[in-house]
Amino acid sequence: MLLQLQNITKGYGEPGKHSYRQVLKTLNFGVEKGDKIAIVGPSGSGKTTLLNLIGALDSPEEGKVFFNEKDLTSYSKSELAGFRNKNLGFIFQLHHLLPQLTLLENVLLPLLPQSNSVSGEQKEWAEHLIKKVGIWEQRNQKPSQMSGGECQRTAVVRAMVNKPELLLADEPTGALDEENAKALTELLIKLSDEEGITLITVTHAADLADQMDKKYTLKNGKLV
Amino acid sequence: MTRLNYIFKSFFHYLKANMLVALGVAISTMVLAGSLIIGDSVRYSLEQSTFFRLGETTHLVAVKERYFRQEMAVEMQNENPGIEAAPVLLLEGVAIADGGQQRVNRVQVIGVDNNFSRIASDTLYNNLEGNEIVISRNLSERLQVEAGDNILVRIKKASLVPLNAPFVSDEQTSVSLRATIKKVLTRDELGRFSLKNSQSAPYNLFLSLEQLNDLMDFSSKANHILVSTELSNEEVTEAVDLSLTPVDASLVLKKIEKTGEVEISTDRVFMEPKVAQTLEQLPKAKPLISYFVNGIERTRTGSETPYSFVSSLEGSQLTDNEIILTQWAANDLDANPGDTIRLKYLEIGPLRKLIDREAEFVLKEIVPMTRQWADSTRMPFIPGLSDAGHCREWEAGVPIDLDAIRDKDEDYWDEWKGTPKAYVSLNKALEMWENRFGVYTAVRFPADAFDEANYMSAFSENIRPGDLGMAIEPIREQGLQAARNGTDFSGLFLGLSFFILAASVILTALLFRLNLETRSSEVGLLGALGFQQKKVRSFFLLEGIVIAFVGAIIGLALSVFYTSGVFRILNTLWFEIVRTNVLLIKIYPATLVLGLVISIVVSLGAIFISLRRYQNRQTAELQKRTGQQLKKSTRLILDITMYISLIIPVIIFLWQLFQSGNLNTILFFLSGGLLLVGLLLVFRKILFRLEARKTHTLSLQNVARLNLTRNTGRSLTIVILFALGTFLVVSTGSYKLDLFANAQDQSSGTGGFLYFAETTMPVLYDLNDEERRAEEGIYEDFNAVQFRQVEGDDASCLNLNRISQPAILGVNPENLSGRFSFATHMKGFDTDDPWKALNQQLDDGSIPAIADQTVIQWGLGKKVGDELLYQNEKGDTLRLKLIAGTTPSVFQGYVIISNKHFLENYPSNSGSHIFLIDGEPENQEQIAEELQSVFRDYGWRMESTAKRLVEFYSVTNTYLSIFLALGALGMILGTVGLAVILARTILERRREIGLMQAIGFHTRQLFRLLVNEYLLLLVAGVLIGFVTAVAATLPAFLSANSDASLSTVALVVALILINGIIWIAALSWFSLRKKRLVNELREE
Repeated sequence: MLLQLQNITKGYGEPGKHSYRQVLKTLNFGVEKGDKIAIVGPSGSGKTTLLNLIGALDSPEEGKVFFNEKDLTSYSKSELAGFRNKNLGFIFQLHHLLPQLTLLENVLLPLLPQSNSVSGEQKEWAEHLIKKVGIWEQRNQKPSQMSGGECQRTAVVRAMVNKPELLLADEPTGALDEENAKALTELLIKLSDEEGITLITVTHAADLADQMDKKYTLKNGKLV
Repeated sequence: MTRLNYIFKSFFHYLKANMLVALGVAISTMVLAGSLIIGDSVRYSLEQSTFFRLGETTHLVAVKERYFRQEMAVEMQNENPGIEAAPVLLLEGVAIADGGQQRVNRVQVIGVDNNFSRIASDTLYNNLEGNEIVISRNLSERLQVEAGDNILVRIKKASLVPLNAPFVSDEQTSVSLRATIKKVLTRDELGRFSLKNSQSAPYNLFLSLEQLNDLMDFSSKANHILVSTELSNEEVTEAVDLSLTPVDASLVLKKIEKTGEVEISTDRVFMEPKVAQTLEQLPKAKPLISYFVNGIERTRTGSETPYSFVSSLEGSQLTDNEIILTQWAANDLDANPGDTIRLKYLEIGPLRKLIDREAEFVLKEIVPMTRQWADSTRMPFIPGLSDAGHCREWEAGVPIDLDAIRDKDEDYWDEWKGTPKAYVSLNKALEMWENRFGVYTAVRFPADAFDEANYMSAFSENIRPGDLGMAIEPIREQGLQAARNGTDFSGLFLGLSFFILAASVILTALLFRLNLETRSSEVGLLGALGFQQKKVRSFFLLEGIVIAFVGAIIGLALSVFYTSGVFRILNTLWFEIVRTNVLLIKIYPATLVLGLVISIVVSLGAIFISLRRYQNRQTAELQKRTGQQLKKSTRLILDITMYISLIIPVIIFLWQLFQSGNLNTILFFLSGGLLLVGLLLVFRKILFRLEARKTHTLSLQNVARLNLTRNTGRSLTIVILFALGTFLVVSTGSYKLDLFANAQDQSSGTGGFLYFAETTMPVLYDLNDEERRAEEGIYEDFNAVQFRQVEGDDASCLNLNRISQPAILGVNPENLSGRFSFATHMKGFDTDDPWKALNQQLDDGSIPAIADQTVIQWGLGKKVGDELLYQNEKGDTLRLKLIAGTTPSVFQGYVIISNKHFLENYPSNSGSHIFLIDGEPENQEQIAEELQSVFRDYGWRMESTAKRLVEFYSVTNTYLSIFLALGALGMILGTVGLAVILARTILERRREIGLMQAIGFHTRQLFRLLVNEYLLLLVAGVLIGFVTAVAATLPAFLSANSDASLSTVALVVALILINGIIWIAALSWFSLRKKRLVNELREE
């Protein structure tokens, strides 16, 4: 099993206080390699919180997160950063491209935590991905010169440039129009299939959710 | 793509925002590097000032109230070819021009010969003839004279005999010279010549050494030798030592034909103990002492011979109660052996105080007026007395009852001059007449037993330059040291610029933080991409380095302008604190590098803290924790700090106001500071409470209040900035003192005295002596406290150099009892009146001394309990122990000891130069007029004590002005910070504003909303700063000595508020412009 969440509990505010609100309640969840999973649910149900826990951006109050049978909750901050870089790819609702960098540079950015500069091989791989998603022409443009769809495709490539085992997408089509959303959905599925990457996406978009292998609904703090 | 590439791209992408941060760095660099450059420049200027005042002089040979042969200089050069020496006779005088309309006191009158040209590196001093003089530019300006004009110079009369030695006339204390100005000297021509460590130029007047000697009735004398050499001080001392002869000790060798003896006497009348001891050791030495007595009385009949010399006989010829009379005296008194003879004589106390003394003897023998009994040379040479043609012409420095002088006395004087009429034992003579000026009047030797070579050799072996009060000092090195260790203007300006520095650093952090906030998604993304927090921080930190570097470089360039601006003001408006026009800007590359590095480090520190706090907040937000949900321990610590900061000041205030009689300004200031911290923490708590409150009555005001909690960090920053700025500006303004308010109080810095006076010529008598007053024509009723003075460096705050030997004042401590106040004192001394302790002899051999606490602390860099070392007149080390420090007083620049100790160490010192005058305030004008008229020729300079204090305080007040000016600049910077935050917040809230407008809010309402919100922060900050500053400076408000008034402070506060309000209103108006809002909404 690639990912396993055991008895995860997480809330907002300080536990024990009146204002505390629990969003995940002894949640259990497993993901096999190659799975394409959609997590849906109403706003405020804790989808993003769950994704943050899976992405090691946040830690649970109780429970454990295993990735390739390794307990992420025992990792230090520094180990978690390394883990994220090597194993995970993130796609957000907003592309979060850095305006000061070109498309290509944005894509190459995740390679920098590993080394001070990008190797030729890594660059070739990035260029390969860029060509693959059809934004090669824009590679030297800055985000301000690109369309929303191009930016989001760049974000997808950026998420995949490190050849992650798991791709986490938080409302990836949320900021796109119908046409671009459809194209991006296809792209995500295509790339995860071709590269053998596990995909977990949090979405409200039925189209996207429907195209995943599995679909879970987060309700009352549990996945059903 | 590299990390560095990313950093540079980021820097340039956010260039505008980054340059705004760099502006903060630039301002701090400008102030920081500027302060360092100011420090360097002042130090450099002081060093240069040492060269300007000393020329080529490296070492100084000097004596006080003594004179040596000017040939000594040549002999020193002969002894050591590495020495170039110039003899100088340096005296003081008064320069008068325009028929007395222009008058300058305390002018240095300097007699020079051609050797001086080598010191001055200028030949203009060669061939000064007769009445030709050259004068310094400042003197020419004060007198309004030029080359070719004539001026009158009244020069303090120098005398080989100490002026207050017994029987020395005080009739002539000055000599006049009508002189023609040959040239007005520039700085490079040694116009600023001075041997004192001070940047202030003295008034100088040069004339030929020969002419000055003539005026003083001297023959080739000097009191200083200026040495130019590469040699060490020890080698110069050795050269002085080898050149020293008995003549330099004022010894006179002569043969007494009548008695077949050789006599060594002294021009000083009384021989110093060390010299006497040396001469006594020579074979067959016969010391003698001759004294002028008022009368020789035969007690049985009361018959008396007036005004006679009595001499001593060494050996066992007489016991201590026996006397020998000459036949003339015995006849005059009709005395016979066995009769009781009474000698009436005067003991001359300090300031010529005459003490009547008597001693009774049994007449042992009557001797004929022949051979050794008819020896008029036993009378010492006392100018005005010994050389008088008649008894009625005597100028003996003591009252002479001319009616008592009979014709036979005149006849005796005509025939026998000062031939002693009586003889007592040497032992008894010493007991009666030994005084602070010396012991014997001569030492005699049988001519056949006297070996001159032996005498010279004994002198050379036993008498060192120090024994003659001769000091040899590496004056250039000392001057440079004093300059280098002088007032640290770097530190001073850093301190004075504290607020502007703090404001610029806070601004830097704030602007950087604002930048980070706009790039929050970037920070989050980098984290999500697997960059460690450390790494993300390092990216921004590296970007920060680039920003800091750029800002620092800009700041360095600005610092040069800043320095020249400050120097321009120092040369004009703030002249009081430098008092020199030799102010040169000096920029050392090392200083620039230091300024750059410090500035970058400080800015990076601010950026780092800002970044770290931001990241922590990001993490907290991610974990859905808000700012107020700090760790319990941190919250507890902050709460405890808040309560302590509030309670302690209240306790201190109550205790100080109602229990302690003495308001401690430092305690109040600390309490005020603590209260400031406390109130800021209260404000912080209120903000968080406001944020946590669930229910609010919805009103525009409430909305404004709630908006403050949107970003509590920003709100707090604004309040802190304004509170701190207001606190500093108001508290500084409150400490400006009005010294006239309390001037009559005896415990004030004036001591309750009306006037402080100085003279160029010494006043040799007691100004309180009724008889003397009548003689001088002084009729106003006043009391004078007189001070003896040993010249030294000015240690007041007017001198920027670090002084080690300030001028010493000697005073009768009883005269100051109960006067002035003390800031500090040593344990074990009278705490109420440390003056009383001045007469004590301390166990460790040191002498108690008192100085102004500011002099002790700043001028001398010492503290109470420390010692000051001097060389006294006898060449011994004089250790002055500072037992107490007065609160700021008219004594700034001096160290005070008792007259008793003063005269023990400086017995030759004659008269008083410094006076404190006390009298009825309503008569003060008449007193001033009379004293100025009577002592005009003494170079009397008098000013009210309060005015003198004001002059000293002008330095403190100038510092306060600088602090205020820089503080105001800091406040402007703070306002800029406020404006930036406001602009940024409005930008962030454009959607909210647009929405509110869309749902029907009037622009006026929105304007009020925004203004209210920021006005609340401004008012809160200013109010907290104001209240705590008033609390901190409460003693100043309660003191009559201060001109701190609520109206002044209120004005400052009003200006701060108005400035803030203008910014807030302008920015709010700008952000609410209709056209702009529509655009924003369209964008949304």
